[in-house]
Amino acid sequence: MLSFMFFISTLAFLINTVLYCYYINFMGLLFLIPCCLFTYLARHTNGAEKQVQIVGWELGEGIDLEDPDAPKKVSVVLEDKALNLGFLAIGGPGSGKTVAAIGMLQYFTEKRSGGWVYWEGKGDKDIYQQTVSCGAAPDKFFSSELDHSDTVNVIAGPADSIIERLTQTLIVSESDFYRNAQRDALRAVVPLLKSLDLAVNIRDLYVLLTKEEAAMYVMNLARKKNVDADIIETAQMFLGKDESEKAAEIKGLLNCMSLFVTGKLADRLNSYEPTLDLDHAAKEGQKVYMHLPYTSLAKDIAIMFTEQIGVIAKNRQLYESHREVWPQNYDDWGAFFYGNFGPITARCRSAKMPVSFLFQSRGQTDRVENGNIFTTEITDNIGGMFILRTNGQATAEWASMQFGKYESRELNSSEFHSSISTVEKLRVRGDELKNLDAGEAYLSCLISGKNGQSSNKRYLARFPLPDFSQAADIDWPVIKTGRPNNECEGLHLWRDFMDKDRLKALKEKIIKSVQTQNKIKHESIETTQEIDYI
Amino acid sequence: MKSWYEFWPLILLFGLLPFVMGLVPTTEFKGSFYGGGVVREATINAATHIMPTKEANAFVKEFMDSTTSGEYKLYLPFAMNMSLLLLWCAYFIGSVVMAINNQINKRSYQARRLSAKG
Repeated sequence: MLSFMFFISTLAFLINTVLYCYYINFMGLLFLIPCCLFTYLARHTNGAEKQVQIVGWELGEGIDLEDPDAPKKVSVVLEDKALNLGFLAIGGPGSGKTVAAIGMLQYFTEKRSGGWVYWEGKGDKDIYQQTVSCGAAPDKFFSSELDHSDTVNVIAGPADSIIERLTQTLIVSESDFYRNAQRDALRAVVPLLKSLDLAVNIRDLYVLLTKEEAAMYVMNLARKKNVDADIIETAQMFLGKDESEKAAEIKGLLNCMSLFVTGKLADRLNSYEPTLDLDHAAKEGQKVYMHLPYTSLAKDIAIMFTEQIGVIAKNRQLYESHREVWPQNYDDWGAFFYGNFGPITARCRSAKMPVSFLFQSRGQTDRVENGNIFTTEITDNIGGMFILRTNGQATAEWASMQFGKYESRELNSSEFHSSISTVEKLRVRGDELKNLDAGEAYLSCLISGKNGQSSNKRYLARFPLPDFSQAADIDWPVIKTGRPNNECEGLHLWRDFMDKDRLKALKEKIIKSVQTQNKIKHESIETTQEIDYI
Repeated sequence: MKSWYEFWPLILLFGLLPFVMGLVPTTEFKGSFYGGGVVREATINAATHIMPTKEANAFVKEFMDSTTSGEYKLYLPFAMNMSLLLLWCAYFIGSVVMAINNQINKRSYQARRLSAKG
C-alpha cells in the first residue's frame, strides 16, 4: 500500500511539473525533485522489489501454500542453491518422477551448461530416448546390458578404494573366518598390483589369485620395479601359502569375481584404457548416463561405481578448491543401496556432487539401511522434497507430514453467540497426494531471501513437460569402445597366463633369457677368476 | 486482523472528496453556501496567493470568464493536490487504526491460546 501511495504521489508531482512549466515558468522543474524521491521510495517499498532475484529451474505458475486458507498464485522457481543440495522425489508409478528427473537434466544441460550423472535403475529405452530428445544427450553412456556402451575399469583408482569396493561386492561369505581371510587376500595382493605402475584390471587380479606362475611373475616384476619391501612381503605371505589352503580360503571370492572376468560384459568392465573414466568425467563436468537395469550383476557394478564416486568426492573435498557442481540423480535406485551408500552420499553432498533420489515409496528409503535412519538423514540434508502422486496410504501420510502444519482460524456460531478458535491443521492432507495428476507435485524447497536469509517454501506446482517429440526416432547409442586391451599397455596377466600356448611361449622366453643371463654371469665369473688368478 | 483489503474504501473516499466537492451543485444551508462553485472559487483564491502576480491575475480572469465546466477544469490541478494530501492523511489514519486493532487482536489471541494450553 505504501508503495502505491508513493506511486500516486509521483504521478501527481509529475502532472504539477508539466502544468507549472507550461502555464507559468520553468521553475516547475523543481517539482521533479519530490517526483524522483517518490519514485525511489515507490520502488524501494515495493514487495516484489524486496525479493531477491532467484536463479534456478523455473517450473511455471504454482500455488504458494504458506497459508492454504489463502493460497497465492506464484511463479515457482527451484533455486540452484537448493538443487545443489539434492532433492528427494517420491511418487508412485506413472506419477511423473522420471519425466521430472529428465526435465532437471535438461535444465542442468541447457541452463547451467554443467555435467551430471543419471543413475537409471529401470532400464527403459523410453527414458534414454526422452533424455536425448529434450536436449540432454549424455557425453558418456554405460550399460550393464547393451552390447554397445562405453568401457570402464571397475578397479580403477587407489588401492584402498579398490579393496573397499571389492569387499562390498565380492565377499559374501557368512562365515567370519572366510570373510576375514578373503579381505586379507585382497589387502595382500591389491596394493602389489597397484604398485606396479601398470594398468591393471580385475582379470589380472583373478589370474594372480589363481595361477601360481602369474604370482611368481608379478612378484619378480615387483622386485624389479623396486616396489616397497613391505608390500612385497605381505603379498609373499599370502601367495606363498599352500595352494589348497589358499584355494579354500578364497573360493567364494573367486566365484563372485568370475562374473566380472568372463562373458561379454567383462570386456567392457576390464579395459586398460577405458573410454569412461569417472574421475576424468568429474573433472571435465561430463554428462554420464548409467543404464543399469536391476540385476544382481548390475548391483555389483553399481557398487563398484558408487565406491569410485566416493573416492572422487573425497578428492574433490581435499584437493579441489574450484569444483564445479556435478549432480548425481538416482532414479529408481532403491534396490541398489548397500551399507556404505549413506556415508558416500554425505561426502558427495559436501563435495558439490549433490545427490538426488527418486523413489516410489517411503519403503524404499527405509530399506536402505535396515531402518529409518537413511530416510531421516536424507530428508534432513536435501534442499528440496517433491511429492508426486502417491498410491499407498502410509507413504501419503508420511509425505503430508513433511509439509508441516499451519494455524487456521475457525468461526463457531450459534443462535446466541459466535467465537473464533485457532486450530493447527496439516498443510497438505494425505488424500490430496493421491489425487495429483501426472507431473503435479507438492514441493518443499529452500528459497533465498534478502541479506542472506533463506526460508522454506511449500508449493503446489507442475513440472514442465520437456520436448519429447523426437524421442521415437532415437535409438540406443552405438559407441566406439576404444583400443582393445591387447593393443594397450598393461599387466596382461589374463592374456599371458590364461592361454596355454602363450604361456608356453612365455615360459620358453623366460628360460632362454635366464640361460642367457647365467651364461653371461658364468663368463663374467670366469673373467673375475682370471683376474684373481692374475 | 485488519488489512488494507478492508480499508481501501477509506483511501478511495478521501482521494475522490476534493473532485466531488468541486463537482456537486452549490447548495444553500441556513444562509450559507456549500459545495460546487463556492469550493472552486475558494480554492482558486487560495491558489492565487502562491502564484506569481502576473500569472495569478491571468488565471483569475480566465476563471471569471469561463463556464461551470471551464471553472472545474481550472480547479482540477488544485483538486489533485488536495486529493494527494487527503490520501496521505487517510493512509496515516488507516495505518494507525490497523496497527492498534491488530495489536489488540494479537494480544487477545495470545491470551486465549495461553489460557487454552493451561
